[in-house]
Amino acid sequence: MFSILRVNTVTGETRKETDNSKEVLLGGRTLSSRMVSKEIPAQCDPLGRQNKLFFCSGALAGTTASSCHRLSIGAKSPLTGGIKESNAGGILALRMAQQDLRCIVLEDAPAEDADWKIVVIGKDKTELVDGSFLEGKGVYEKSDLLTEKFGKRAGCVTIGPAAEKRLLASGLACSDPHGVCSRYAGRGGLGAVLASKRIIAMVVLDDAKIKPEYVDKDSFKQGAKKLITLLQENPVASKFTKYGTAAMVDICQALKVLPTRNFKHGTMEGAEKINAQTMYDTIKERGGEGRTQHACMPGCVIQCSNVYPEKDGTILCSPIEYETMALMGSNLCLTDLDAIAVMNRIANDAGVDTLDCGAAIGVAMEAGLAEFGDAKAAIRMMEEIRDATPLGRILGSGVKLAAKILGVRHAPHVLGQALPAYEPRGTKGMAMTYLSTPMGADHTFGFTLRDEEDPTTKEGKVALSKKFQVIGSRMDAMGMCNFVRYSVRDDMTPLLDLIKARYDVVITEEEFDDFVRETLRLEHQFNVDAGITAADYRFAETFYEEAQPETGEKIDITDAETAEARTW
Amino acid sequence: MVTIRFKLSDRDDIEIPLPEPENLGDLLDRVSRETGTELGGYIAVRQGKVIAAHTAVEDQDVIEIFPAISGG
Repeated sequence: MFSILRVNTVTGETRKETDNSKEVLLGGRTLSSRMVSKEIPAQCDPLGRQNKLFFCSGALAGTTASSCHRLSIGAKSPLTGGIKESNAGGILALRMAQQDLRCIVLEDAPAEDADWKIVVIGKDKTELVDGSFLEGKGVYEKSDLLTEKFGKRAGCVTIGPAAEKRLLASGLACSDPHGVCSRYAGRGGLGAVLASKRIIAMVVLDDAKIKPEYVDKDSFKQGAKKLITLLQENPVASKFTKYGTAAMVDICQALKVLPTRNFKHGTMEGAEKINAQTMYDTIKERGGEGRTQHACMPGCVIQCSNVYPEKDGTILCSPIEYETMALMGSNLCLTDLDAIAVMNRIANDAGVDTLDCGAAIGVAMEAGLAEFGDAKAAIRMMEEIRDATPLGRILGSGVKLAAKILGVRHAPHVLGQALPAYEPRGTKGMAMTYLSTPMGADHTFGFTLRDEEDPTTKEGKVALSKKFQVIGSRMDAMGMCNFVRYSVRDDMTPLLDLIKARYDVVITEEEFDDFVRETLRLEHQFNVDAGITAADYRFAETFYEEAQPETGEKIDITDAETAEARTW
Repeated sequence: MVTIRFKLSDRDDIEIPLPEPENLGDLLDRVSRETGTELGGYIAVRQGKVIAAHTAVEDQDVIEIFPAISGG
């Protein structure tokens, strides 16, 4: 039986339920999206009392399997107005498993001027305690204070000052294995949802340490070893270990889809100054606390994360991902890795999504508030977001809003969520994915780029996008790291065998994919019920009117085609 | 000669004599067999354009091979 803990954020009352359905067993996005669909009125105010936050661990959480501790967080998004699942690494999913919890639900919302509280979950009780000492502080300081109060091994999730002001690009910061809240469920404004409940942090204590019971321990051990071998021997997955996601800079530059100059171009002169090799060499050269490999969650052998150091070797920022290098780098025509790292650090401290804020600064530059390539101005704008100045509040509310207020038509978003990684006119497969995800422009599933024979044509891209929407969603569906998919893309049995050995529950590959497709169907239905229409699944009109200079391509995808890609 | 450049890789570039056009997939299979290494998923780019496994590669072509990873 799996446990679901419900916490009323007004009264502090808690209730524990149990459920042994396969949906709850799988956890992750399978569970979070079902609960959002079932329990949240689709047309509710995302910052009102009817919205809920669901924190779901995955099927293998608590075990020794590699890369199995992603935490899926679900709610109605204040950024997109639709359903949201945003997931993060870190230690929270492990701590939940050690408390025998598959899901934590935060319900209701007190008055807007209610005192800030911290939800503290331990083996003996769950309570709301005073959180006012955290108010107004940056995430790094909050993280230190939480560690001081609850111990370095507690699993924490907190928000930054941007969420306290309910900025729509605010995320949720989760503890990494060192106790620093630096692993972000950054997308969709979920930080503002937590803040709307006057919860400034949630802590799962390290006081239970319930160990998983295995139906067949030997088989599980062998299966976990097999998974490690698959990950280590897979030539693609192993690339993540050396370069992390930053390797995408060179790939996107070569394919002419590197977001550049507010998504007007697909290549940037000087891209090699911010590519994976430069980052790798810089980290190695500076040494100190810098790390080219770093695990974002316990027991992960992929270790795609990194620690980027200052010139003196002290930590500047961890991690820096490709999408941040693109949105806060090439998209702003910045060729200075240090500047990108500083912006990333400010974003982490303010508690905002680097992608939506990077895109918002891009439109601000296009509006003439600063020159493209001006690193100091870009850093200053990030500081304005952190300090919640009037301009900072606009930029911290995401690219759609910022573009409207600043009078920029070329606003790179779908459903209000910034395009995260690829200039869509040069890759019609990714464009199709952006236009058909229920989450708003999302880069973590439907990754077609490697399989597009001709990226500039839309022919065959509905089917290709749908194929990879399923493949890409499998890992989210059970709380695994997305990069495991390279090792199980053609054969999910290594993971399904682990589920069998752990629980004695058989889930076939076909049944598993049925869960994935049903999740997508439910997510799209939620959006329909929320009032999102086909007309919302479009890029800004400029993407259809103006050709990308490097490829000569425009977006030529029709509403009928995107509707087909959303049909499950 | 066809030049194969392995990007984001410790492998050196290689040059292969190619008297007749050959499709990329076959050529890379041959390279893998001869070097005893597995290539895994890749994205191949020629003159700034992605080329597929069945694309004919010709003498003087320079092919960049990227590992087919993704962001996250």
